[in-house]
Amino acid sequence: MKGLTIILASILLFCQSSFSQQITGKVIDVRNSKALQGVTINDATGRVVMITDQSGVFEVVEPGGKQIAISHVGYRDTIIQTRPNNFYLVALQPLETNIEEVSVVHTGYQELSPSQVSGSIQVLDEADLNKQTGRNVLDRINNLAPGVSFDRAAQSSVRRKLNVSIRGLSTINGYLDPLIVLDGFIYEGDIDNIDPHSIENITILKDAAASSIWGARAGNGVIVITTKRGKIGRKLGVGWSTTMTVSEKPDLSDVYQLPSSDFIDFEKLLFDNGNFNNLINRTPYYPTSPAVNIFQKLKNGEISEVDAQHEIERLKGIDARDDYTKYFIRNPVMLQSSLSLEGGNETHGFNFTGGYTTESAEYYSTYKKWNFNISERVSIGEKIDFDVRLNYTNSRATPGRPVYGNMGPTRFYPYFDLADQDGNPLPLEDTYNKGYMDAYFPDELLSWDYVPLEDYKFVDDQHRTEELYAVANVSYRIIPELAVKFGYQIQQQNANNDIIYSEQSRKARTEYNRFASYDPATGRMNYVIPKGGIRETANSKGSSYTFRGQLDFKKSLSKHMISGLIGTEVRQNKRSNETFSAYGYKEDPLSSIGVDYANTYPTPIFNRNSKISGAPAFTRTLNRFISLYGTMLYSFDERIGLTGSIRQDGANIFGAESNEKWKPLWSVGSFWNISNEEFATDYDFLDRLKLRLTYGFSGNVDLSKTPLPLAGITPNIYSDYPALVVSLLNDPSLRWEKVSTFNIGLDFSLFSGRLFGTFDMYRKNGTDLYGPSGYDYTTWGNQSRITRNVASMAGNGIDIMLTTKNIDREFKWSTTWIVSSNQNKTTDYYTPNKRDESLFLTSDAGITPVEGYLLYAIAALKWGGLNSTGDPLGYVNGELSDDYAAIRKEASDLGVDGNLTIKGASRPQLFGSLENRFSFRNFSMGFSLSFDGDYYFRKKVTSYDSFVKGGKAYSDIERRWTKSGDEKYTDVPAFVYPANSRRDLLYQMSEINVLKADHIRLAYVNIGWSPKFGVNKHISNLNIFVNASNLGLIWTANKEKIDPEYQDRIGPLKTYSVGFRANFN
Amino acid sequence: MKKVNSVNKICLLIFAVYFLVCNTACEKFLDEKSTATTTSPNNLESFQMLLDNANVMNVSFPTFGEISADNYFLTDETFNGLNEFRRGDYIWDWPDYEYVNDWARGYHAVYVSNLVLDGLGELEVTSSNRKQYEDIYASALFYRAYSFLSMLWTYSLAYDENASENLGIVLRKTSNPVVVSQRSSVQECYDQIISDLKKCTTLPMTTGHVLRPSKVAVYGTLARTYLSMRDYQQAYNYADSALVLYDNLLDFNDAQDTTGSDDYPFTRYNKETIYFSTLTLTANNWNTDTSLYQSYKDSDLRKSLFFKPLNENYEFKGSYSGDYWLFSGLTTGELLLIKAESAAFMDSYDQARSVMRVLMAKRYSDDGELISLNALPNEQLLQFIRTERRKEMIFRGQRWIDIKRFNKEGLNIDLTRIVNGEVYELPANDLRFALPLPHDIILETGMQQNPK
Repeated sequence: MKGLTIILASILLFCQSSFSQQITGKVIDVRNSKALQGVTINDATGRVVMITDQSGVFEVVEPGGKQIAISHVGYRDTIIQTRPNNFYLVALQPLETNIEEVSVVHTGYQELSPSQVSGSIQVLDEADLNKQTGRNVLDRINNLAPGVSFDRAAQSSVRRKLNVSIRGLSTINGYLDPLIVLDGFIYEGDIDNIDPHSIENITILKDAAASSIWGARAGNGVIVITTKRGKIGRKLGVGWSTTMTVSEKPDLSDVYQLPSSDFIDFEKLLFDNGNFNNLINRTPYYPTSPAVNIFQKLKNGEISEVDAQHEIERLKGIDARDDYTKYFIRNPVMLQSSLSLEGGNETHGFNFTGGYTTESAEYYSTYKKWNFNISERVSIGEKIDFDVRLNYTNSRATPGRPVYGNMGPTRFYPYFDLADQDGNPLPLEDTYNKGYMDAYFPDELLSWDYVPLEDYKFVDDQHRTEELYAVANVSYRIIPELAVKFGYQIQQQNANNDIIYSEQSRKARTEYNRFASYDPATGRMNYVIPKGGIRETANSKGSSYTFRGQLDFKKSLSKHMISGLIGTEVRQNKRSNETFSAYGYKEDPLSSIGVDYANTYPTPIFNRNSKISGAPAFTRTLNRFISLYGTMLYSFDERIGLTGSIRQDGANIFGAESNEKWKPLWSVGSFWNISNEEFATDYDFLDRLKLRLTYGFSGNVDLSKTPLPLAGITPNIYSDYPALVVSLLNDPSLRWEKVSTFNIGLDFSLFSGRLFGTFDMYRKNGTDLYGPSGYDYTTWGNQSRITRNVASMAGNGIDIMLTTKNIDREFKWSTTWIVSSNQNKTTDYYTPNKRDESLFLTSDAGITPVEGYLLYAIAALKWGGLNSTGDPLGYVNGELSDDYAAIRKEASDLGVDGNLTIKGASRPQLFGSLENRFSFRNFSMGFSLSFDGDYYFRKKVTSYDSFVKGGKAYSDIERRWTKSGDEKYTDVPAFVYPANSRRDLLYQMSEINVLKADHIRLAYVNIGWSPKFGVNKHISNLNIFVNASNLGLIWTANKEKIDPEYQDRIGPLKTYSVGFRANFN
Repeated sequence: MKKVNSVNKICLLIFAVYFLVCNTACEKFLDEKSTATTTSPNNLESFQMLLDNANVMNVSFPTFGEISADNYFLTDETFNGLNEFRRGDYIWDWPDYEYVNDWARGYHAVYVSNLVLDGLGELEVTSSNRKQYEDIYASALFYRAYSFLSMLWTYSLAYDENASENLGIVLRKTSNPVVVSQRSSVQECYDQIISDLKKCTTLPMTTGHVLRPSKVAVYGTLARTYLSMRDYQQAYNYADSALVLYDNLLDFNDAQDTTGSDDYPFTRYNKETIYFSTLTLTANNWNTDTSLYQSYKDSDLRKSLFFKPLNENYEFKGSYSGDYWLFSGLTTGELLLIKAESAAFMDSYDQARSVMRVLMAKRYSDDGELISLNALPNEQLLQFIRTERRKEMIFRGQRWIDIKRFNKEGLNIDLTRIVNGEVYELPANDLRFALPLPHDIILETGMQQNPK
């Protein structure tokens, strides 16, 4: 690069005297085509020769030179090669953003300019993605887009792998995730595999007009991810970035634990009431807690009062969290590095990005990932365009230490030690009772001990994934108006999880022991499981391919412009899994010993027969789709436009009638570029104003639902005959879900960009939504609920994004407001069986089966306080009552007409973020607050039944009623034994425990320094930054300061990152 | 230009061909099954596999009756540790209960049978598949009738002169879930069961496995059915027909016939088992009724084989399931007892005695009881046999229907339980002998609940 410029410069100098040529031009801002005044034009030597006037025009007498450089504060410097007597229109890009792409909207099928769009679409670019430093793409789009909300409490499931929703949830049992499109094709892999550093642009398609092109999978919105790719005419450039992230250690006291002293006092109470007798007498092989062991020994006269007292006092002084924190928790550290190379000439461009991420997490799990992206684009003349992209990811992960809450026996106790005072590792009884097992044939069997501090060293658990995602597109322009395109995508993902338990691991020892039985005839032990290690392997493969053929057309006739595309697409997605275990496993020499998976063998200690686990098992799924799609755009004079799109999808849903396989989804829209109108030019302050209107349909297909019964192989423990069980009941009336959306939007920019943003208002109507429904299980009996088309919903909402440049001098301050409101109601419930209303009382994830109420709501029982003996009171027939069965029955039978009330939404109806950015010369700072409002959450409170069974209590147990008169001060019922789960339920589900969930969080703070180097020769960007994220709650509506999204669990750890990015070209 | 034109044409041609091929091949492309591990059952192999799912078809005999009957008692401590549903069961004062329960388990087996029967209706019978077709058809009918019978014993009153008015169970005869469930009368239920079983005559005499039905199992179930209706003539006929086909009996005197283990003395699928079925739940801390335990004589080998100490009492370990699951299927022993009881009821006393001798020889270690059997006056023979029946068939799910049936003959068996110092009673012929249906079923279907 350097050499070339020198040569050019010398030629210029040489030629300086030969010619005197005029070059004229106009400089505009690429975003809004506004003319830029005061732009500096430099000649090849870097000398300022001209400044643009207020129309952005310049005139340069350039003595035969070959290039000029244009620069302006706040914009990226541009060099253009010039020829004499020519006019050049130069569009400058603002510096912070790689704006060449912001103006382009990627729908996955085509690239549009914002003026051609009628739907509700938001584009995020590289700079946006760099505001947060997570290693997962979705972490980085959090807080940046109106309508996009993250549900941190969501549990991952088949229907919901990502925890993000666009414009609220409009389905119940269908798939809840938005569609992810990567480089133009549907991506069904693990989103963790996509390297955020390789992404150029994310486009979020929010309404029907935007998403209907993607068809039946796009009912929840579409997130289109485009990776960096080769561009024609790009200069050679190199980029490097490294980020190091350190987080605080998790604090186990975020999760409530009853102090050991109180816990042991409760254990004494339970013991004296015979609660553990079953455990001790009937199943002596299962462990009891150390305190209970002492109580039992004392009862049997095996130890003295004094010794018992002494030991109990010692146990009361132990907090299990101390050892756990000391040995199993560390500060997580993550390092992400990425290198990119790009270059090209007039006919081709390439881009290479490589990245490496390594993470050591807080519980000692590790994760390493390599990414490579290569893309090449070739353009031959005006006719042929060809681009190829390859993304490759390779990752390896190992798990961390056992989860704290899972340690110990079924009934958790909070006073275990992992090591003694001298640091020697101690055994922990979690599955087997040490005393009992140690006495059972100790000479013939291996130790049953589980030593947490040691055992993980004997387990090698590796999770490896590898993914290849490749896309190739070729387009041929037949005539200027018509181009034919073919696209092909292929994806291959392999995941493999090998867990090798060495011979000394607890698992290998206990399996060996479990199946060993004493044969009185021979006087010897029979061992069924061989000595050695155990290996458990799970392999899964996924592959998909898509083939697409498309015709693009575009025709302009004076002021009319019509463009569009039609195409067909064929897609296949295959997944297969296999699992198996091997026993007697040795690494050196590599071998295993066969075992009999078919028969049952006695496990004498447990008085039953079992089969050996780990017989090879296989699953395979194949999904196929054929689609036909088309879009059209008509615009008049760049002012008014009409759009339409239609798509018909067919899927191989098992057993579906053929006419159900095909269903067209369509949308129509229109837009009006008000700012391009004649009258608009009178209003100087109006840079841009565009009105959009759309209406369309999308659907939701759940490929596992069919109208015929589905049966699957089930293991048969009674005989060797293969057995089938019906896992899905036939429902001849099953229909697809349909959602229609109407959207009206406004895009605006005022006062030369001092104020700009978007405003959208939408209304959704969903019918035939799937939901869990009670049914007459006399007809089947295998499940208590089945999924049926149960409801209709209506949703409406507003998305606003507003950016103001408050101060725009050398010191800059701008603010971006993102506010979304979203409300969904049940408009119809097809099986008005009130007993479904009591569904809420156990789960907040179900929909409201009552017309007119919020779709996702929290219901609660009316509360009557405590009576004089500390028992909770509810209402039956409007009267105070402690007949818990009757209270439950009234809730079931009468629902909201009885003692049930609906408190409010269970998901935020108002959410968004507020970002402030400051910059002064090369320094910048920004911070962002996020808020969620207008919703409720259910506070977790103690259920004595769960406490007796599982040992888990919440802080309210310390404020429980203990003596007469307490009912004036507390709402926490008295402890009773035996426990009464209906009594617990009244308290847990009462209205006093439903609190407002509104809160404000400090999401992140960024500080950066971006010095600039060079003007003519090498344009470089260097950015050094510091970022702090997850800084916690600033305000909560609930007085108890509970974080509604992370109630009683360890929230996201505060992270601190430091890093730099550098670009040279 | 010419060159461009031909290239253009080729391009368009490729595109058109692709379009056409796509649309015509699409049907075939979409016909591929989406999940290889699931299937919609539509052939004989899959029907047989559905019926072979023993966990659904054979482990569905309701435990509700056994829980409510008098073969056992609980200590106060055990009772207090139970949840409210089990506590309610024990004192015959049930709270409204929901899924999961015996009703769901029993009807799951009924659903599978109906699915197979409906599916068979769609299949063509050819000379090559006729035998298999008929076997599967009869098997499905058997499983359904067996489920209906055990549920009828649980949720309805005993058969009597009011059978046409008394509420029976739901006779589902289709796998289509859209058809509404309705309770039929006790009479209709028995008629259905008997007619279904009588259609099963094509089954082979014995099968490869006792998990699968056989002709002996059909006759045995008919014998049970008629016995519970107090039609002793028919019960005798069918028990006798069954014994003609199969009469292997375990000899408790013979060490070969038991395992010798302290924990479980019987092997599963032993030679006396005709059809294997177990109750849906297991017994926990059930102390055998003291007077019942004491009624086993010392020479009765069942005393030591069936029971082991549990604190100060005895708990049951003699299930023919070979583990802690409670066997409820058909055995030769049961057939002999049905035959003997029916004979005694119809005054064929010598017949009755000779049948009992066959059984008792294999149950007692000496002839003491046999001698007293011979010396017993005829009027006491029926009671003697019924006592033997109770001792042999303890914890097999038969006691509940037996109590109801005996009370129809005026035996006035009242049930009493004492818990935490309180006395709970279930008088003979109380309406509560028809155990309540699940609350959520009543709400969902609007069917009538059993009166208390």
